[in-house]
Amino acid sequence: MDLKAKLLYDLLIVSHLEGEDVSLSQVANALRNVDEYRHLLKVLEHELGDMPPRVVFAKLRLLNAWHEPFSIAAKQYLEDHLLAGLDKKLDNWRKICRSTP
Amino acid sequence: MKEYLRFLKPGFKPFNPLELAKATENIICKVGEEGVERKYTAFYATGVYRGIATGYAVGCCLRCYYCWSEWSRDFPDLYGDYYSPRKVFENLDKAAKKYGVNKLRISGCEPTLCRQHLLELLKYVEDSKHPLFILETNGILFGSDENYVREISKFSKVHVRVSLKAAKPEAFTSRTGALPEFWELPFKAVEYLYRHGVSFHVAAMTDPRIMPEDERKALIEKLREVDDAIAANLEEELCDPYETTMARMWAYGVDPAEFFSKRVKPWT
Repeated sequence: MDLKAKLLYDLLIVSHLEGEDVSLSQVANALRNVDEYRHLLKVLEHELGDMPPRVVFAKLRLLNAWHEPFSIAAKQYLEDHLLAGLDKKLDNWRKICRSTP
Repeated sequence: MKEYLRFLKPGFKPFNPLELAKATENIICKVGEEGVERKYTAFYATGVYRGIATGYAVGCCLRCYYCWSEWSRDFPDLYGDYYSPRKVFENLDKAAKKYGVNKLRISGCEPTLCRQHLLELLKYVEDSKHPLFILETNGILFGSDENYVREISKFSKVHVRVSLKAAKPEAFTSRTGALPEFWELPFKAVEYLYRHGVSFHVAAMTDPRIMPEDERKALIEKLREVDDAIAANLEEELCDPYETTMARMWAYGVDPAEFFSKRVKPWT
């Protein structure tokens, strides 16, 4: 996975339980201290930071620059998380929480 | 449809949701001086979607037993006043300014009823400074008419949230009251929205107290047939003990106390 796909994969995981009533910027707080995401997050938040993550994902899917990374992230997320058992899901969330400042 | 169906009771007779849509439109839509008017009960702003101005409209074409909408769903004849598209936009705009939010939506109902009203309202939104209009639908009317989706695709500010109720025909009937042969219409809506490049995501009532795990998996797999990206952006809903939900459950023969006493695990 390239960096864009990795970021979207992590955003999908942190948005699983609440991707509607929060903003992308709030969800992105969970990934703030991952240095390699800093620039891409800035780009995303500039245009879409106030939007709920599910709306953001829907819009990214329609954008040429993000379509392919989102498809890659989505495929991986389905296998690793959405269709996985509870233990695996908790493990995914724990990993991300551990990196939260 | 002889008698207007209000809520589900044990032993109910399944209905045609397109006929119920027409019967409901006969109550909630009328032609006024400024186009097709629709019934609404209130305009306000709320914290969902990180703050959104909301028009609470009247009327639906499904009868989900766990639905949390106000009684205006079941008794559209008793609730609401008629508003033109222009007046609805003005009220949404006013609510947005008052509460300092910039997103708009219609809630509490099936917004795709009264098609001309919705399309006119979306023209006002398109010409405004508001960046986003969330259209929350059960997908029945979109799934029954691709042209409707084509018309919606012309509006750049619309984001559609399609709410799926079931991934099997018999489950669709037992949850919504609609005839099983209509169960795929919401999935058709998903296909059409995808085909016409509309910004949208899918929500589903996958609460394990309502939808068994094998059906949840079938629903996700069915969405994957459209695109993994659509399945991955699934919003999973849990059922909450709203007063109207509990009353509808009770009427349907589901004991709400027993239902809500079951502990919910996140989707396993």
